[in-house]
Amino acid sequence: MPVHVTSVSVVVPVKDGERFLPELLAAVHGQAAGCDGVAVDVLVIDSGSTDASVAIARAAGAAVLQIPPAEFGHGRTRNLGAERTHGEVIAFLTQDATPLEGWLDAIRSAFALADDVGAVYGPHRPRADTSPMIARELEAFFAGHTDADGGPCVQRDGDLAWLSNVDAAYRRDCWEAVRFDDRPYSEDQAFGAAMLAAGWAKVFHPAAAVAHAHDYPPVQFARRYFDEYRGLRETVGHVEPLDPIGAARDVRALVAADRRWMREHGVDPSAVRRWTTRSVAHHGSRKAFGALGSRAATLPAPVQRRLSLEGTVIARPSDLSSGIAVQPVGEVIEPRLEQPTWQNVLTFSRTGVLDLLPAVPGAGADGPLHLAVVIPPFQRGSGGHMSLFQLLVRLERMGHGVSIWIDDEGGLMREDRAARIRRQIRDWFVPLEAPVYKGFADWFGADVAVATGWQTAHSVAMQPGTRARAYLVQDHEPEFYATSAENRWAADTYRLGFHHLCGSPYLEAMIHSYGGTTSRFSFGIDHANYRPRDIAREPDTVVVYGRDATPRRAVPLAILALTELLRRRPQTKVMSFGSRLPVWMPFAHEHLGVLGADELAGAFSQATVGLVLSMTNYSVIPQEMLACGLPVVELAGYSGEGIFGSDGGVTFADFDPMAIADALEGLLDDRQAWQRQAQAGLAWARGRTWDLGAEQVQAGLREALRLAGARDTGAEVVR
Amino acid sequence: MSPLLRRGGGAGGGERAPRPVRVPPLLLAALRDGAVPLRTDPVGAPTGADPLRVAVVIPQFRRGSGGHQTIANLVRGLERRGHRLSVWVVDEEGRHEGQDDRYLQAIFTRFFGSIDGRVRRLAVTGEDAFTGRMPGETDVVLATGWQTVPAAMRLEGARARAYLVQDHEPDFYPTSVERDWAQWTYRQGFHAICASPWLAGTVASAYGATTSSFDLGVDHDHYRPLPDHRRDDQVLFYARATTPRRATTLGVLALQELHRRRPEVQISLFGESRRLDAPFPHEHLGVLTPDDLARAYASATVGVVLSMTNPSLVPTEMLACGLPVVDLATNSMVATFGIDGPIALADVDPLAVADAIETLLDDLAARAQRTRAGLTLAADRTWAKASAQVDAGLREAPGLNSVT
Repeated sequence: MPVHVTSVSVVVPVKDGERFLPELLAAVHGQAAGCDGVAVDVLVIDSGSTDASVAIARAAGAAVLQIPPAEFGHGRTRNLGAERTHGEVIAFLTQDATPLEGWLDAIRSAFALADDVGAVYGPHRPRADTSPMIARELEAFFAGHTDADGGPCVQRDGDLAWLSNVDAAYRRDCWEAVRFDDRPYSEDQAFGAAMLAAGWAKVFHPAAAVAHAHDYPPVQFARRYFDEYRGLRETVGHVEPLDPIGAARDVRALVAADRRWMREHGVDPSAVRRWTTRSVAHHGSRKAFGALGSRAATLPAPVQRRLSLEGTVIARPSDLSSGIAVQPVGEVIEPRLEQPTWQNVLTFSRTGVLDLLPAVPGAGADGPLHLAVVIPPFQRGSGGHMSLFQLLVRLERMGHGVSIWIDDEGGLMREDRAARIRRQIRDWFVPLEAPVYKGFADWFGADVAVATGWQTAHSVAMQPGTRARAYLVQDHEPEFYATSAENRWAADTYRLGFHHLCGSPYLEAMIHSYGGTTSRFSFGIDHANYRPRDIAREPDTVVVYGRDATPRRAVPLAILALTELLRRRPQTKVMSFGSRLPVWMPFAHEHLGVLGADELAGAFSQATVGLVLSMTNYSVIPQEMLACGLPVVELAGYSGEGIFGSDGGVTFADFDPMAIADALEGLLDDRQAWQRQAQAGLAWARGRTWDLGAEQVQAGLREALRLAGARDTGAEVVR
Repeated sequence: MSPLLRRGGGAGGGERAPRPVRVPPLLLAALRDGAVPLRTDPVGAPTGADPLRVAVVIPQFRRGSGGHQTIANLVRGLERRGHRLSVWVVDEEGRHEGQDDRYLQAIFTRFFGSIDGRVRRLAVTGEDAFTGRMPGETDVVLATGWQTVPAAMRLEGARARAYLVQDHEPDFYPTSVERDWAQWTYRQGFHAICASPWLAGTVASAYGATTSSFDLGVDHDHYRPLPDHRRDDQVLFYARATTPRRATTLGVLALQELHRRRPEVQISLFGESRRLDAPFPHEHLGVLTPDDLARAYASATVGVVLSMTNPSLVPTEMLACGLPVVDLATNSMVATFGIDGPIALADVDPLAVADAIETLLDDLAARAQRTRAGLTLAADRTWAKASAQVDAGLREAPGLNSVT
């Protein structure tokens, strides 16, 4: 049940605090008087003030506890203050922190947010004369502490542990359970971490704010940095460099950031000039005194005392001067500039997507187009390239001008000239007329620039002179990677504003999940090759796509399913293809290796059932099996149902070896079912031609132009 | 060992040797027949704070494995808390072929420190049945990696099953059977004890498992601030290229950009014995011992570790040495350390990572603040605390608290 606070003890450690103490005490008393139902008492702990602090506190009605200066400790003295008061809540303020309007109410309401709130803290606001450098830092810092709407934020274990006793209030039982460590600095930070770990919550309340004078005059500021870096050297061995040139450069950057902030906050130009001088002194002295602080142990005691704002001296620890640990030294590697990877990602990160050419109304709706198709490098037998070239050769026959651009960042085709690559396309794939370019030096624009794989998308996005961009999507490529940078980059290419031509409804749904626009095309079948051959079909043979190098083809699952099948039907013969090397299976099988199209058609005509598993977009292999009269078993729940339908030539089985074995067994044992599926598959395959696919791609490219034009005109209207 | 795992190499090998396809031992049996029933008889059931008998099932191991080091640290911690543990190695990859149990125990001790419990092989026949010694009657069987789950499901004699989850392992794989099977292991009724609140949340919400969480400890004997000369111009990058989730390619692009902006900054890479091709000059530190790591962390200016799944131990160890760290603002990092926590979190973008490194190189105050916050955070992360959390997690396992 939420806590209703009825008494608050305010504890203020003080040493020579007369500058702000009167307004601090007045603010506390004013808020206490205006707040019904809560008793507020104030304890000032003075550790040796020589100014009027003690008198000011007494005059304001605060209890005063005086301790010798040597007994002061940030944690120790605050524990003492808590022990000497009785409020349900103990609120600590530093002597230069003045509560702003609503501070007390905010603290009370923050404790009421949940029953496990052990501490509440608020933001430090700049005073009227605070320098823009500090104001900028404060604002940015506390902006991150609120909840998403800028309101109070309850923090629990695993959340932000930050806590500052400049302005923090503690529930007494929480303080009793955790207490402050007796340490030279950061007792509040340690408390924050410890209380969260112990299961308490803390609350940042934006209205529990104080005006806080961080702003020492320049010299004092510098001396504070001396202390800061002396401490850092002691605790973590940080040594601030003495590097005038580097320091000057750093200071320039910081001063520029301050000036930007002042302009954004409407500071008038003369004030900006005045503060710029201070900004230079602030950042400059921070650098210089930081460097001195790092080397404090080497300075004579009187010098240290004068430089330190605390007025203290540290001894030269023996291990600092003599016992420098030896850092490991590695081998020096010269830069390798030949083929660095993913340079497109870096370049694209700098430049972003280039603008398209302005739309020409109605252009692209009919007539020939110039298509600049950017492709990844290829090897003989690449299925993805074969599908692409089958489509392009038909687009050429339809009258479109095609140019091919090899985006070979990885250098796979580094040795090959463009003319040779063009001949390889014609020899290995199809007789394309298109000119072939390596790289983009000769880029001359296009009606539509077409990306064909995620690695080509950045290049397409950065080429000028195009009216539209399209993306031929044959698979959901982020899934080719484990969780990794590549996985993220591949996914991000679907958000570049291209129009996507997708090879299945499954891929369209994927692209829609990224917010992309889509058209459909279908993969064709080379019916001249893939047809039932004049070969006797065997009664008990499963032909499996055993391409184990491609994780999405789920070969280990196929092997488990076949293991189970063989346990049930030991007479079954298994043939595996798609991998040059044999794949280990715990049963005898025939290894066919990588087959040419003619041999594949033979194997598909000979076997009884085909087993091809796809965990992303479907492979074209089941299409070719069906065209040879071979029923197929595929995985249910991915892309296949959207292509083949659920009662055609393909049986869909769940992701489970038993279910797949059941499906295979069904087709092997039930001749009628087998006949029905074989016929359904042949009928389905007849409708799948590359001509149809090319017609669909043409429509998709015109849609890309139409969408780019519509977007362009839309933007004009807005302007 | 499952027949699927038998290595093709050896006699008559060469090019024609069949390529091994790895499937976790007993997976087919677990998929077909599910888990064996748990022991429920009340006689001898632990109650309250009774010590537990825990059989820890671990994957094959090699020197320097961080996951096994964590397991060994927790085993030691649980033993100190009075529990009796035994360790059972599932050798999926055949890495320990020919090694007897005495040898296994000796190398486990040498690599990861000594434990009181015995280390033994959990042997499996070709027909996916256990052979040789088995844990027998235990209170908890504790799986420790997705590949150990099928074996842990098939072990008889346990009162409860728990699963020490150090990372979301499906993320280690592209879309593949391994990814699906790793996901499947979270749905098999094990109580998941997860190495961060983020991980516990993910496993609970995505798979419906019951979960507890613990915070990875830090070896404070090694990782502590050293009285060293900390440089102001050295960036230290955990460039573990063989682990995709460490986003080494992204880090290399970020450092390429950093080098373009500040050619004077020295870039040092560690975590991988193979040298990395990079378009900027750098120092290759290779795989370092904990002592050398601590020295490297004590002398560098900024550490860079990129985590795309559960946070690595490396950032916390850097913090424990006073080294400010840049990591990625991924869900897991934000949930574990907070967007304004001790670690500077950058978007998954080379320029954003370069900006974050540059900020820490430039802004001493920011560096000092991160250093202090980091030391505070790391001070709290001990293996004793982690072991206490895992202890509490074990007692949450459904089979155990049902008999109390």
